[in-house]
Amino acid sequence: MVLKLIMERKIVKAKAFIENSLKYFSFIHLLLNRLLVLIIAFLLLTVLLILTKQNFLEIYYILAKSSILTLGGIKSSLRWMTPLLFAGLAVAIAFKGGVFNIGVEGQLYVGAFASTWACITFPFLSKILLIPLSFLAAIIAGSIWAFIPILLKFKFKANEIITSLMLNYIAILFTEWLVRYPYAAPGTAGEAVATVNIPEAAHLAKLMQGSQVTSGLIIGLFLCIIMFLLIKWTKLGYMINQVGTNAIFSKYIGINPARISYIVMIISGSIAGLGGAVEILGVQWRYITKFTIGLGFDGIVVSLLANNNPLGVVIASFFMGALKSGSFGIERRIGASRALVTVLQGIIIALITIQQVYMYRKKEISS
Amino acid sequence: MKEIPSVELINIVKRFPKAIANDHVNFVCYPKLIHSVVGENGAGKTTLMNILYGMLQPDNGAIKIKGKEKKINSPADAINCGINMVHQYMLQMPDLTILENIIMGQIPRDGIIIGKKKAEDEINKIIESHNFNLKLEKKIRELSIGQMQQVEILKCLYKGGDILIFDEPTSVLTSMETKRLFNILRSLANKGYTIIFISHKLNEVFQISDYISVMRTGKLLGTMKKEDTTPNEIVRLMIGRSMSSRIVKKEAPPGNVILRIDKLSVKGLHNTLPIKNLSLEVREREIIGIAGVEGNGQKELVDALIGLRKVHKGKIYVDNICINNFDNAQRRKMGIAFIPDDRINIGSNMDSSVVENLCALKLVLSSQLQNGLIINSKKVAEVGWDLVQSYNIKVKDIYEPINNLSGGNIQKVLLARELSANPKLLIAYQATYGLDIAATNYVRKQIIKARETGFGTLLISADLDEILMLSDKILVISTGQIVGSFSSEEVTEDMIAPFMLGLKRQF
Repeated sequence: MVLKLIMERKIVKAKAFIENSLKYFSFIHLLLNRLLVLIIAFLLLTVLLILTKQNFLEIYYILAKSSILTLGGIKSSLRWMTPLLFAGLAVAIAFKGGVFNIGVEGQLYVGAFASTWACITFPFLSKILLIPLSFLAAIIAGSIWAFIPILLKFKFKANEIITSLMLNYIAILFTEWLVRYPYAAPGTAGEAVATVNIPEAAHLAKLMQGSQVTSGLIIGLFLCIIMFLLIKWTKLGYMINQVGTNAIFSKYIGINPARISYIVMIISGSIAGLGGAVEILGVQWRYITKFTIGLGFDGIVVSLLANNNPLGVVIASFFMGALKSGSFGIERRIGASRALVTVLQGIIIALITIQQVYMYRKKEISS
Repeated sequence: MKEIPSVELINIVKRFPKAIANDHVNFVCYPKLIHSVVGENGAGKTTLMNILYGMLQPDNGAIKIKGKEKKINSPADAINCGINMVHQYMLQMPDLTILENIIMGQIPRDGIIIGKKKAEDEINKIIESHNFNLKLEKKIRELSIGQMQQVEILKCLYKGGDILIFDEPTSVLTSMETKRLFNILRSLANKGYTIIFISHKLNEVFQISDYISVMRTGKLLGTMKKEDTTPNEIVRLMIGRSMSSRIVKKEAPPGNVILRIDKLSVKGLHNTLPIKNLSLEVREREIIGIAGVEGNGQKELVDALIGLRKVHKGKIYVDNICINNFDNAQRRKMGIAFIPDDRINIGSNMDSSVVENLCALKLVLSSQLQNGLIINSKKVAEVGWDLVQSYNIKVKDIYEPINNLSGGNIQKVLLARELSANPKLLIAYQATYGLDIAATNYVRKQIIKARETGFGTLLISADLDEILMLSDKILVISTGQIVGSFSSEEVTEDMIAPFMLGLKRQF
C-alpha cells in the first residue's frame, strides 16, 4: 500500500517534470502531441473500418501508396498541399489574432474569380504584368470579403463566425451566377458553369515534370515564412499575439483590439484570395464553379493541427494534402469511399477540441 | 446551545495554485437561525460555500451534516444531504412557465406521463405556506427579478432541502424586493430551515442575521451573535489590521495638480449610476487614498480613468487636458500608469513570457525597442534583465512563461512595467490584494518611492490599513460619492468606519 503510494507520487513527479521541460520546447511538444492525436485518430478509424467489415490494411496501403510511397503520389500530395497552405495559413493568422475566420472558403472563391476576371479581361498583357495583376485582384477581392464580417462584428456586434460562414454561400453562389450568365464562355449557354480558359501567359510555372505542382507552392511556403517572422519579430506580430491571447490585457496596455482584428482579417482574406488565384493560375486555368471541394474548410483542420503556427502550417498542409491525394487514390483503385478521409478529419478535430477544452477547464479551475 | 448543528465545517483547507482560499476554516450553523458570512471579495466565502455545495472539494477537513460526517463530491450529493444554493445569477429558461422551470431536472411521473398536476398541487402548497406572490402558469419572461429569485427559492424548497445558501441574493434587487426577500427568509427560518446568507452589504447583514461570521484572506476570524457586536467591529475585522511594518515617508511638498476629476458620473448596469458627481484632485508627490467598502463605485471609477468604461457626465483632466475621449494608448502616452486589481486577467497576459509582459508598454507605445520594423531582441532582453534585477523579480529565465511565477512576482512584473514607463500619475487599485506580507511590503515601498520621484498617486484599496499607512490625504467613497475627506495625520479607523458604512457624511 505504502509502496503503491510512493510509486504513484513518483509517476506524478516524473509527469510534472516532463511537462515542465517540454514547455520550453513548445514546437517539439506540439509535434509529439499532434503525432499522438494522429495515431489515436487512425486507431479509431481502424475500429470503424473493422466494424463496417472493410479491408483496412488494403485501404491504408493504397492510401499511403497514392500519397507518399510513390513519386506520383508525392507529386499529387504536393499539388493538394498548395491550396491547403494558403487556406491553412489564412485561418491560422486570423486565429492568432483571436478572430475566427470560417469564411476562408468564400474568400478563396472570390479571390479565384477576381484573378480569372483579371486574366480574361487583360489577356494582351505580358506574363510579368498579368500574373501580378491577377494576384492583386485576388488579394483585393479576398480581403474585402474578409473585411465584411469583421466590420459587421464591430458595427453591429454580429458574431464573425456566423457571418463569415454565411458569406461562404454568398460567394459560392454569386460566382456561380457570374459564370452561368455574364461570364459564361461564349458560344455556351452557361451549362459548363465555367469561364473561358485564361491566356497561357498567366499560367504558373511547373516545378515538376508531369505534375500539377507549380510555383504556387513556393509562394505559399514563402508566405508561411513571412508570416512566421511577422508574428515573431515585429511589433504588429506582438500586438496580434497579445490581442489573440488576452484582449482585455491588450486594451489595458494601449492596443486597440478592434484595429488589430481588422488588420488580421485583411491579412487573412488576402492570403485566402491569393490561394484561390494560385489554384486557378496553377491548375484549373479557368474559373469553374465549386472548384475547391471544401479546401477552405480543410484549412481549418490544417490550422488546428498546426496550432496556428505558420511553420506548423507547412507540415500540417503537407499531411492534409497527402490525405486528400490518398483519398482520391482509394476511390479510384479500390472503390472505397473518399469520405473516409473526411471521417478521419472529423475525428482529428474532435480530439484536438476535446484536448483544448480539457486544458482550458484545467486553467479555469486553477485561476 | 444543545441542539445538533445542521452544518459543521471542520478545518476546511482549500488551496489554489496562486493563493490559499480557505485556511483551516471552522464554521457551524444551527437550524431556525439566519447565519451570515461577510467579507470582501476574494476573502474565501464563495469558495467555502462552493465546498459545502459540492462544486469544489476541500484539500483537507471534514463536513458534518446534522451531526453525521458526509462526503460531498457534487451538487447532487449536496442536494441529497438537504443543502440547496440560491445562486446570485438566476439560471432559468425565460420561455418556460414557472412550473416547468421548477420541475426541470427532477420530473415527477404519473405512470408514463409527466405528473404535472401532482407537482402543481405540491408546489402550490409550498407557495401558500410561505406567502409567495407567484402564479405557476406564468412564464419566467414576464417576472420581475425579485419574483425570479422567489422561483429559485421555490425550486430549492421543492427539492426538499432544509439548508439554504443564499449567495449575495440582494445584489440584483431593489430595496422593496430586498425587504420582501428578508420576510421570506425570516419565515423560512421560523419554520425550521437553516439559512446561510453571503453578503458584503453590512447594513443588510445587520438587518437579517442572527449570527455573523467574518472572513478575511481565507481565514474565518470569528462568529458573533448580532446583539453582541457592532458594525464598526465587523468592519475592522473585515478590513483588517495586519501586522505589517510601518513605512517611513519622507516629507514631500505636493506640486502641480496632475489629475483632476470634475463632477464625474459613470453609467452601470440597468441605467444605474455607480459613480455620481464625484470630484477629486491629485497633485505631484501626493498619495490620495480612497477608502471604502468594496462595491461602492471603486471599480467603475478606475475603469473610467483608464478608459475601459465611458464617462457619462463630467470631465477627467490630466495635466489640464481633458482626456474623456482619449483611447487607452493616448491615456498611456499622457503618463497614466495603472495597477489593476486583477493581475492575472487584466494586469498581465498569462499566455506570454515574463519579458513580453515586462516590455509590453515599451513595445506597443514606442519604437525604442525596434530596429526599423523588426523588434530588436537584444535590446528587449537587456531591458528585461535590467527590470528583473532592479525590481528583484525571481525568475529562472526572462523567457519563461509568466504563468510559472508566484502572485508576488507577477505583481512585481506589473510594477516594473508600469513604473519604468515614466508615468506622472499612478493609479493603484487593490495593489496588494492577495499577496503575502513580504510582497505586500515590497509593493507599498515601491508606491512610496514613486511618490518621492514625483508621481501623483491615486490609491484605491479595500484594505484600510494600507490606505492609512500610505496616503497623504484620505477620501472616503460610499455609493459612488466622496462622503468624507481626512488628512492622514489626524485620522483613525474609528473615525472613518461610519463614513464607509454610509452612516455619516461631511458633504
